[in-house]
Amino acid sequence: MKKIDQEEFVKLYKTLPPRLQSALFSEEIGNNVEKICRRYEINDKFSDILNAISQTLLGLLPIEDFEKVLIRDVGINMSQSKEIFREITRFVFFPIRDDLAEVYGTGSESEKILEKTEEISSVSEDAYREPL
Amino acid sequence: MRSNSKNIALISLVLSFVIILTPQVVNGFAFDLASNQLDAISEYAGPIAALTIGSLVFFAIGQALLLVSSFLLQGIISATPTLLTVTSGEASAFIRLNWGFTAGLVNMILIIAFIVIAFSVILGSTKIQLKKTLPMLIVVALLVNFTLLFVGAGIDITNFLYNSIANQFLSGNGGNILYNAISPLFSFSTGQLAWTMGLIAATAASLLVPYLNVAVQLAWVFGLKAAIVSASQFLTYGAIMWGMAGLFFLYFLVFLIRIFVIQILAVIAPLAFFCLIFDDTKKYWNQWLSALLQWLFVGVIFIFLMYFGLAMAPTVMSVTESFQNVFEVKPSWFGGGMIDGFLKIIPHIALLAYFIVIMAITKSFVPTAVNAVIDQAKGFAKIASPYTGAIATGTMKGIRAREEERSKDIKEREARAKIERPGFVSRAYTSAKKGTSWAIRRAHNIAGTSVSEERKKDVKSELEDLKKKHGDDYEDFIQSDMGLTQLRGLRTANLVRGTAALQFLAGGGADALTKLPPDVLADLIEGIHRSGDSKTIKNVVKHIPDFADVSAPQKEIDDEKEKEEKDRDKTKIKKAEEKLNLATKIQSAMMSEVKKVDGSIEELKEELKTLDKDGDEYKEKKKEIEEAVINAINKISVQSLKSSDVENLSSSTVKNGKFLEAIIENKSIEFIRAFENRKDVSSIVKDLSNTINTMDVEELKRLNPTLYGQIKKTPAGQALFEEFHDKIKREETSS
Repeated sequence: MKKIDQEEFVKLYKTLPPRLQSALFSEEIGNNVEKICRRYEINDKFSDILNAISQTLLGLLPIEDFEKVLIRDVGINMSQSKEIFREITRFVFFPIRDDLAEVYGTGSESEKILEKTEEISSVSEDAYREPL
Repeated sequence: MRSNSKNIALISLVLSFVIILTPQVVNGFAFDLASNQLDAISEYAGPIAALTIGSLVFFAIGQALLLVSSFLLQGIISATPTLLTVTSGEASAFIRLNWGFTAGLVNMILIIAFIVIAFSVILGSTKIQLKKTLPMLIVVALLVNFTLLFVGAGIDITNFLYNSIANQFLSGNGGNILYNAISPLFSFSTGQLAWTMGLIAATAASLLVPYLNVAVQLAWVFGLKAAIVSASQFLTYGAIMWGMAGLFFLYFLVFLIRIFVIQILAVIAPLAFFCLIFDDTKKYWNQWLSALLQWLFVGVIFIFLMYFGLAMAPTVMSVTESFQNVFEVKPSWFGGGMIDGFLKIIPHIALLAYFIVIMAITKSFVPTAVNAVIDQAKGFAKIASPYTGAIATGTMKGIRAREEERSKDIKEREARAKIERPGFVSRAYTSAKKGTSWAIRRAHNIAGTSVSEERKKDVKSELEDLKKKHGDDYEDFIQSDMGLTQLRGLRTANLVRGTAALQFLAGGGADALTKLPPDVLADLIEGIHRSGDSKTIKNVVKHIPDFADVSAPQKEIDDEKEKEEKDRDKTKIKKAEEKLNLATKIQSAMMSEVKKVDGSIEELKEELKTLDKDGDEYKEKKKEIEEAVINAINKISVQSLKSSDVENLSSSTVKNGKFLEAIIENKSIEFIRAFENRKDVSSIVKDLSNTINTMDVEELKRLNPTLYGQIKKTPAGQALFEEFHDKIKREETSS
């Protein structure tokens, strides 16, 4: 997957709504991705997942294509990709859904995906523990 | 025709007689001649009388000063042992009360320290090295209540040495040897003074009697030789007395300050002992101990050397007697009497020289504070000398003329704002200002306020005026009447205005500050630094930390000076010198902050002192210090910078590698984000990325764990510092 270089980042960053700009500088995203990677034992994929998130936040990767990128470019197997995508959508994209909708357009697929997503404020270690 | 001519001649003759012989009212007076003569002779007698009177006044003041200073010095020498008593019942209330307070305070801190150690044992903390700290704590707890005894023992030892010499002052050759040494100076004057004063009184009385006044003034002119001899003697003896008085007063100050300093050191002794416990505070103990020993022994050294000087006076006197035989044939014009007279002053000059030598010797191994006293006294001496010279020559008119000339010169120089060492008037002015500010401080103390508070209020009010008047149009301010023209000549004369101006310009960051020429900025920084306003200095320097770099302008100067003289760009050299001067002033103003940030600088400076100035090691060490200082200034600047300041940083600052290093070591990614509105954001980010790539992952983790985490975990960190982000991940994977 192509990585975003400095100049491209600076150029696109200036066009974003303020909340998305702040999100790009938020450590919370990295913390959530780290926890997801730990749970699915894909620590080596951390940087690639973070890069994919950056692309989405910068308006380069619509949310509907995110899962495909996880499988094709990041190398996550199909059995895990759905869950990982769901979690990233919930924890990273959902809190900034309005701003993402602004970037990808009202009524876009990205917006529809986000509308269907449940709100969970943060990833907890036992979020996916089997129900008793 | 012929009869007509006769008639005309006859009429003219008659008319002439009529005119000549007609009675007229006139205002003639028999003493007019005396008055005219007096006026004429005064032209010559006046300067001679002025010389005599001036030299007499100079001598009389010197004599009075010498009497007072020798009285003060003898007094302080005799009183020192009593005043320095700290242990017995005679100890001053100041020591007893304050030592009790500090000892109580330290006892309380010791209890807290015990509790902290107890908790650290319970909680298993390894921060406090128990093995080392606890025994020392117990020892200090025991010793702290005996600190006054220890200091008292030190004082007693030095007092013993001191007294054994001080007693000699009183027993030497039947009386006080201090007075014995200077009494010949007074004995010279007894007859001479009375004779000269009588002469002056007689002259004054004669001025009332016509013609006698002319005769007396004529006598002054004829007595030119005697007047010159007399004035020379008065001036020479007077100069020696002034010199002696100055030195005695200086010694008096050193002895007086010694008493107060030792008393204060005795009072804070418990705190100093407490500092022994921890490694971090041990340096304060060392400082205290070194100060105590220096101040204790400085008195002994002074009195020891003084005793030798004073005891030597009679010996030198006998040596000069042999000089008199050298002049078997004496010059006839002034006569042998004058040669003899001057030979008599040699012992006094020798004594004066010896005291100056004592001062020079002691200066090299006495506490810094003594040096400060000596330097201050030197400043006063320099200020006083032209005035005393003027009194001696009796030409106050001359001094006024010189004052006007100097004042004009100062104004011109200030207008040009050249970087020069201040001249006499400027020094006198500065000293007068210091005196005034001292008086103001005392007045504020009485009124329950402080000068700095009042000054802050004034600066605030001036700053508000500037903001109201110019908003954020800094160029408008610079061009205004109160702008550059005023600031250029300001120096330390009106610090309120200077401080307000710099605070105002600092609001506009580097762009606004660099509107001031380097020489003006340097003068303002120096003045504000002297006033102790470190906050304003920091607030200014944080926008222009690269201006503190001495190496760049120094290199420019060196490069130009390497060229042939004809090829040198003098304007470039001048500009570089101004920048160098500014850098030096900034470094000097920031030095106390710099030392707080990097404690090793002080050690490096000490090491530098031990090296040969011409050696390579010296140059390397100097360079190391310069780099450490500039790194520390960049660090301080970066730490003081707010995100809102970023926009106003100069392009040279953001290109400065040291500044970028300081950002990486001290700031978070949020601060880097603040560069977003700058046009050069891309190049700044690139430079920051290049700088960070030169570091190890562990190094960044240690120096700035926040930025380390942010590069690792934020999308922006990954994109902006891609290479370093990958480096972190690689290291984590491999570990």
